[in-house]
Amino acid sequence: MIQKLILEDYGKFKGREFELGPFTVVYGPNEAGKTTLFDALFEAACAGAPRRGQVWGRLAARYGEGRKARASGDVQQFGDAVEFLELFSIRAGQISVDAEKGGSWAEAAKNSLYRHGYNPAEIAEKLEKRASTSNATRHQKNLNRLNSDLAGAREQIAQLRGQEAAVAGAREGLLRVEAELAALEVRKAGIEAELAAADGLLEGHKKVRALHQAARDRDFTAGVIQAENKLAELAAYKTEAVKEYDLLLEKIAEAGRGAAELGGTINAALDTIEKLETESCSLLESQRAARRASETAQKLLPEVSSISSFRHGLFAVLRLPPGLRYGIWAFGAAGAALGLYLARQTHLGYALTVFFAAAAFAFDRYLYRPKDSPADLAAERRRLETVYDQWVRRGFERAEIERPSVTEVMEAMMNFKSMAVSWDMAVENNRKDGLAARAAVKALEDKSIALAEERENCALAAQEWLMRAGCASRDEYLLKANQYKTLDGEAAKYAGRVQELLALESCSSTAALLALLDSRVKELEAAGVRARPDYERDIAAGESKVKELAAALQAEEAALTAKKIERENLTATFNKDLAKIPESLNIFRRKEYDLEQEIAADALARAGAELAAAVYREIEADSSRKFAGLAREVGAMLARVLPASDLQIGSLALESVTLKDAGGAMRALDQLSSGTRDCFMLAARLTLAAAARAAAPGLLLLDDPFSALDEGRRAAALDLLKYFRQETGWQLIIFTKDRALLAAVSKDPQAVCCSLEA
Amino acid sequence: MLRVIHASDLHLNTGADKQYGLEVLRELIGLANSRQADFLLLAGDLFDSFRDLKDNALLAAVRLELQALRKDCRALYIPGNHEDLGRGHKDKLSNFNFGRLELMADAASSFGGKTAETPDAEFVCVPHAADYSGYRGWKLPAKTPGRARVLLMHGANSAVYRGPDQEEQLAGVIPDSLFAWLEADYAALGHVHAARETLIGGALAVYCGSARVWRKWEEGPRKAVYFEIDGGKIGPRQDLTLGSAGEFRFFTLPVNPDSSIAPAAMQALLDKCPAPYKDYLVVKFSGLVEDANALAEVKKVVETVIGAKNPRRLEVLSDDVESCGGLAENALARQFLEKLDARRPPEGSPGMPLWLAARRQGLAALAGGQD
Repeated sequence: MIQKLILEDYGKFKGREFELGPFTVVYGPNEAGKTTLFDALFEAACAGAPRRGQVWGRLAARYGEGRKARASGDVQQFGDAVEFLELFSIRAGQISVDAEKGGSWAEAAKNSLYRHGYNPAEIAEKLEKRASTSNATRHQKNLNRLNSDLAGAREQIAQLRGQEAAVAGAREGLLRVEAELAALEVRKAGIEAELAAADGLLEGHKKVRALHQAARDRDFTAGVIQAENKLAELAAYKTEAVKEYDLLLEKIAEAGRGAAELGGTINAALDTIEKLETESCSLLESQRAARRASETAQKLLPEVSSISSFRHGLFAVLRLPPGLRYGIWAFGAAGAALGLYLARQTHLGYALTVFFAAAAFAFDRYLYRPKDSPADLAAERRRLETVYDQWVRRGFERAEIERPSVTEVMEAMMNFKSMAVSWDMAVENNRKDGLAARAAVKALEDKSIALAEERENCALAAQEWLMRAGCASRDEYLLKANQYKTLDGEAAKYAGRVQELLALESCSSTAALLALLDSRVKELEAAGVRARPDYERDIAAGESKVKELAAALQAEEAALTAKKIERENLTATFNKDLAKIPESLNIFRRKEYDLEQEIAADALARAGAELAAAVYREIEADSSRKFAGLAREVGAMLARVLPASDLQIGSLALESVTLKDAGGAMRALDQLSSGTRDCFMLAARLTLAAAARAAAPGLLLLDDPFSALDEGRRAAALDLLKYFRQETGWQLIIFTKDRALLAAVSKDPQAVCCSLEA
Repeated sequence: MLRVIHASDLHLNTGADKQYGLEVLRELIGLANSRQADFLLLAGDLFDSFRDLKDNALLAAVRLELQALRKDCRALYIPGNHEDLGRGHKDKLSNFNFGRLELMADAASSFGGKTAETPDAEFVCVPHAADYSGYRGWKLPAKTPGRARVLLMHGANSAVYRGPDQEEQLAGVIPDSLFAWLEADYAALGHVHAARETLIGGALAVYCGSARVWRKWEEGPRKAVYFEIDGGKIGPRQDLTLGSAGEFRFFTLPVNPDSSIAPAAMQALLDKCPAPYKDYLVVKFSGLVEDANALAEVKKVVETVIGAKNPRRLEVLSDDVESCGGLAENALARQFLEKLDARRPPEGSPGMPLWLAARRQGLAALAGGQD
């Protein structure tokens, strides 16, 4: 118990001492120093607590670092300043504030209950997490990694074991392969012997075939020789040769045909000669008439011509070329131009220009375009009439020469003049044709005689050809020729085979071949080979057997090669060094063991954590029970102040605290009057403080705790405090500015009063 | 009929263990005599190093011990990897006088092994080699029908044993296929200090385990293997425990957060080793403590208490104990330990590791860390 508080230099107090009793009331108005005294007591009680946190900062700011206060007596010590303020000091109206904040003193009480912030539920949770197999935890991740490493190591071990076993197993493999090789060699030898036997048998069959072949070839050769002889006999008769004979016959026929044709031609020529002679008479007559007309026209032409000349002016008279006409125009133009040129010098120029133009015009007009006058035309008509008259007089038709114009009349005259020449030519032609026709007839007759002679000669030659061929008729010859052809065809067919045989046997002739084949047949027969019909079948069977055996042999050899390769591989494996396999194996097996150990250690740690978590859960359950006991104690204490309160506490959270109001209704804490709340607070704080402090001596500072209580309740509360003090032996110090409270406390004989001046 | 004893890895040395090693050898010879053995096979690592082998006093002591071996018994010895430690290129084991001990192989040549033949069996002795993979090139006579072939080798083989043996990697690895290749019926193997046997490649490959406790974690009684060969057949095997070798014993002692040890746990430990004269003891603390210094104090006390029982060697390990402030005062920790203690299985039962793990996990979670 703090008996005396000595403030050497503490805030407003300097060198002051305060005597304290087990139950002290400190009275003073505002600003009298109650809070300073409170702080000094707090500092004395928490002298051994760590000086951390804002509580201490606040004290230093308020009273300075040099503050000095000490307490005498058996001072109760508290190890935690915050806990002291929360649990061992009670201030006025605190309950209402705490109820709103969720109750910081209630939390402090809970912490105290579990001892300094250690909550078994939290620790159990931590341990349960450690024991959890969830992949989210660090431990499980580590365990997964270990398991994966273990699997990897085991894989490596299996692999290395396999390698070592392969090397070690190579010896058994080698022995096995050697045995297999020996067996294969034996089998191969058996097949080889079988093959040799089959080959011998096949050889015999082939000899029979050779005999057959030789005999067949011999017979064939003999046939060929026979055919060749016959062919030589008929060699003279050829189908082509009969064409000579046919040609002769053709010539005979042709000569006959030619003679007939010539006869016809001669007759036609004779007819032509006759016609030409008839024509000749009429032509001579016409020739005479024409000659007369011609003579007449010749006589009349100069006259007509003179009429015509008159009609064509100077141009016609002078026979000027037409181009001259353009010369005249050019001459006129040039003259005019010259005139114009000269006109610039003299007026004579203009006269010259006019002159040239007029001269050119006159030349053109009179030289080239004379204009006939009607008188001229009439004169012309008259002169023409005289000409017509003369013509008629000489015994010709007027119409023959009468034409509209002079020119046309002159043309008609010219026709008559030239007609006599045409008739002369016609008569001459007729004569020449007659001569030619007679000469042709003579030539045709000569040719006809020649043809008759040729025909005679050909007939004789044909007769002679047949006699020479030794045939009576052409058909006989053809028969023999066909026979030859057939034989020749056959020979051609055999020729290939014959050539082949000759080449094969290296013989130069068929005779030699025949002799050779014959000797071969005899040789084979002498060797005991007898012809047999089914030798081909035997050969086929023998060959297939040989083939089969050869294939078997080949397969056997392949198997042998494969085995030899296997032996080589096995030998190589066998000779291979183990190359640190045992060491690696050892390392991996150790690693496997280490991993297994590590995993087992983890499993043990996990199981340990589980067990520990279970223990903490048990402690948690015990704590809950302890709290229930506390709640009962609070209820009992509250009943001393509020007998009908019927407190019910669900948990340490203030929201779940309910009690009966004066009217008997159950209400939550924050719905009760402040006086009732203060009563509850006092009961709860006293209980929790006692529970937190356990058996150690305690100190409780109360700062105006009953300001909200009426007189009756205050008396009850003071009774409660008295009861608490008697039960626990705690030192209680009440700070108040309420004189009534001072008076109430003063009634207690053990109470010590301490008044502070304002 | 042949009687054979197969032992290995005596690791005789000139250090503090000298007498201990010779005592084990003496017991082994005594067993060979009592069993009327015809062959005592020593599968390598008889000496701890070449330096120990060179020590005249030790070699003389060995020769002297072997004088006690019955006349009809042949002691066949092959060197192991430890005989190679400190051996120069020119050093030859055959230059040393081993007395009754027959050196069956000198490690100088590639094989260099010898064979010992009897009407019933032939013993093929292979010297230790760093690499055994050339075994197919070894010139060995074919196995005689009707005879059992016993292979004497020193090396690792993970098909037989693959545990965490620190020594394992220091010797050659015997290929799995070797046993079948050499047509062995029984492979008397040395090098691995834990006893194991496996049928591999037609051979029964046996690590008899080290004849003495040479190192930590070599748990279980030390032993040699006894078997008989009758008519070319290997008879059933029998373990001959070497009492003089003592045992390696390991205990886990749970420590409370305030570094105290439950008296019951301590008593249980002391009850477990009533006469640990030959034993090699390792006690390991387990748990979380408030104060590392207090733990060191407790460690000293425990060493003194167990040391009073006079074990051959004692180690108290506290490496695994973590220190964590606030736990001793923590009522929740106290509650946890109380509740857990209520579930504590009997010492040495299969549930013990789980219980220790839970204790460790529970305290670690409370201390804020997580295992």
